[in-house]
Amino acid sequence: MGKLLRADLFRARRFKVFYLLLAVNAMVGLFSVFNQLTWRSIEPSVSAYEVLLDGFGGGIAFLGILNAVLVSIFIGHEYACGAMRNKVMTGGGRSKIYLSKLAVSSAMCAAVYLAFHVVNLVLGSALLGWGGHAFSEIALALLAGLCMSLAYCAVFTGIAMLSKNTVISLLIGILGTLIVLFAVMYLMSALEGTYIIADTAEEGADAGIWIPCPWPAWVQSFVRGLLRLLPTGQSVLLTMGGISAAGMGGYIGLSCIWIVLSAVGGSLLYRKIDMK
Amino acid sequence: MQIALWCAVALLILLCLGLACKIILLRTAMRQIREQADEKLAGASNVPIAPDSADGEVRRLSAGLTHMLDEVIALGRKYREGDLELKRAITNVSHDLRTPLTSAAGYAGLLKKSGLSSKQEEYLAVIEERIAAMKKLTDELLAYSVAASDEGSAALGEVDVAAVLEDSLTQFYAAFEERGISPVISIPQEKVMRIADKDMLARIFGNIISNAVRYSDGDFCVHMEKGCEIFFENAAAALDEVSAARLFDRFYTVENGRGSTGLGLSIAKTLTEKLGGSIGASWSGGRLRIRLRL
Amino acid sequence: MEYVLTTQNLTKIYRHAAAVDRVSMHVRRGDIYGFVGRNGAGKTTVMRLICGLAGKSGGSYTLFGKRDDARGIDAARRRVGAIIEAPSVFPEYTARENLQVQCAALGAEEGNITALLEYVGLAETGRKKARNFSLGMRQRLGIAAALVGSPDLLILDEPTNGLDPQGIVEVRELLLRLNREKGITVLISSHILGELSKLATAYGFIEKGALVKEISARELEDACRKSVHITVSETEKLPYIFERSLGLTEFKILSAAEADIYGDVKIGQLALALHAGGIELLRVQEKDEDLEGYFINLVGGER
Repeated sequence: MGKLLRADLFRARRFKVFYLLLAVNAMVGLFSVFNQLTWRSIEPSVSAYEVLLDGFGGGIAFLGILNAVLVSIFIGHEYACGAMRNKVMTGGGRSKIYLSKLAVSSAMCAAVYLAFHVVNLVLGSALLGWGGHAFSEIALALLAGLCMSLAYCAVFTGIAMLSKNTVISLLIGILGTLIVLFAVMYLMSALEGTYIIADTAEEGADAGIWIPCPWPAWVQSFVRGLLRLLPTGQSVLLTMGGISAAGMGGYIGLSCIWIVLSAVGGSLLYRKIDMK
Repeated sequence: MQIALWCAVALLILLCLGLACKIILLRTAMRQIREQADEKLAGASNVPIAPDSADGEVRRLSAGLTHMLDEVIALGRKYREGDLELKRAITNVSHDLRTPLTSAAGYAGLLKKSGLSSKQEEYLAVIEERIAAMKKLTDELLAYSVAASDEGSAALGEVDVAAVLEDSLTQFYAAFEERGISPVISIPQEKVMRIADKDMLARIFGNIISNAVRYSDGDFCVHMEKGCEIFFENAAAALDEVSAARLFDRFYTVENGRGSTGLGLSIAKTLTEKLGGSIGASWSGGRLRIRLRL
Repeated sequence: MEYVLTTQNLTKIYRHAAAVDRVSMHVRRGDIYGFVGRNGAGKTTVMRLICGLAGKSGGSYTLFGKRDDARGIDAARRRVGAIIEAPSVFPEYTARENLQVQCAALGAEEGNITALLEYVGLAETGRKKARNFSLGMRQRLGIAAALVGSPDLLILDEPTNGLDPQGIVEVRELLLRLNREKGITVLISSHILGELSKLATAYGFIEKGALVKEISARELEDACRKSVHITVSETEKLPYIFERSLGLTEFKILSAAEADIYGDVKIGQLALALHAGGIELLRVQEKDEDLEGYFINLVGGER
């Protein structure tokens, strides 16, 4: 597999989209730092930690979209040029080809993810400080975000390798992420319950009624688990912040499920498909 | 102080782990080089030896080995090509010789009928005999080249080897009589079945027996065992151990000019090996022993 | 004879129709095997199956002595270089970079790339990106990529498709040189028999997914040579009669009863001359075909 890795890394080094996305995410990091800087005047307890939370993609799941673009184009292009064919024909071994792609894509996605946080670590620390958040807390959050990013990568690698087409995997990746995002938002608000304000509200009176979520308990916990399992769900939850260390550990574990699923299931499925 | 000590320990452990990894990788690379070299030589393959290693020395070794093996394979290929060309040339020449020889024989026949003096008839008889001899030589040469080249493939089937041997011996009955040889034959009564080509077998036996008829000092023994081992023995004072070993060489004749090409036994050997058997000769105490196994 | 590739009743079924129907072909080492068939006859599908791109529906194949379901099949595939349908070229890389990627994937030495580019005639491309190559150059780059791993078997799917006549000649010369100098076996498919006839040493004819016939180049040539095959009572006097009475010089005595006469033969005169010479003429067979005619006869002449 070392030879396949070398070949994929050769391509990764020359992959212009990768450098573009690195720059994009670094830019986003920059904006986030300055954004939080302006918040300082209103909310003085804001620190680089808030910037860090922004880096998880938040309300538009932009990490998911970045990863989808990166992986789809990287893998899809190889299919379009027929180079994937070459690897199979010369006995690279279907599973090894898949795993090599997974490894290199993961490396690139990790790099893109870290681009944001490197900017934050340098600039954010200097301008905003960490406001009393412990080193272990920061490290754990970074790790959780990294695993989430790799989970995205694993899913998109599976989609790209099995669909064999750049456009299809891009569509599925981006649209899929957005659709899941809306679903996540909907579910989250449903879980919170609804807050009805009576029409006949008097000034100053708190006439709102809070109706909790009508779903049965097991459904609620199932949905909560689902939200934690989906990378998009994780990105929203992480951005909101306030998650305990144990919780973070849980997120990391759930992300790992995706990575293992893709590595094992994806590579097995890949063996069965016919290629053009 | 404590921290420094722990750091040093951690560093040492990391170093050991790193070295262990390096050793394991090197050993894996060595195994891969050995396996790939074996396959490359066995298959005469062009594919270079390429272990999964980034180590500079390993790569240089692989490149050097690949280069050496490529040279060996190229030499082998050149030899085989040359050999093949030679055999093809022989086949073509022997094939092409047939036509003018037939032509010459035809004309000679016509000449015979056109009324000659006794002297002319005598000369003509010699000419006809020589043409016939040439025809036989050409046929033998052709048979040899076909047998030796890969284009003569065996038509395999279940064959009773004992029966074929008996048939071959019967065919030489007249020849034995003429030379005054009474062959001593012991062949098992039961069938001895083998996967072989009947015509090839007949030819192998024929060549060995005719060789014995021509060169034996006076006797001839055939002994066949059930495990499909056949022994041909005859008295041969003119031979010794060295020449017995060379009997199956191409063009080797003990006495030149007795009208044989020296190809008969060589053809027998090639055909035997094509059927997956083995043949050998030994000489002791004035007797020649040929052993054939299928 | 060593076989580089054999298939045993290889079958591929797409949507209830057999694209490849129990194909059993045999490619010998050192052959240039011409795989001939009309468009859509199944040539590309067979190649895809052999290369491991598509999964088979039945049968099996053996590559370098390793069966397709054996563990060593990947090692056997390493000895193959192939171009299926179109050359695999990264348009944004130069010729050299394209070969570098391939080298890395195969573990080949990059030092050979310069020589290889010269061999295929792409040494002067320098920093030109592959997207700016002509079709012929791209084909040659594809062949170079197939050669990077020093293969023992080249599988080429219509490599002269879209090339101009000069390009076709160059590819042909290249393949002949590779076959002669490096002993590389070539499996090449085409629907133009005339092109293959200058190249191939063996042929496999495929129609509607089934292998109709396998034949060596020499047998094909003999089958197509204009000749008259006669069976007579005896061939001893034939040469005399041919040379004297009929003025024929091109003939071959095949055995004691058969002979081939090449070129134009007036059958009437032949029969008379043989009768006068006391030889009975038992059978006469005329043969005169070109390769295309042979192929059309083989596949039934449907259009």
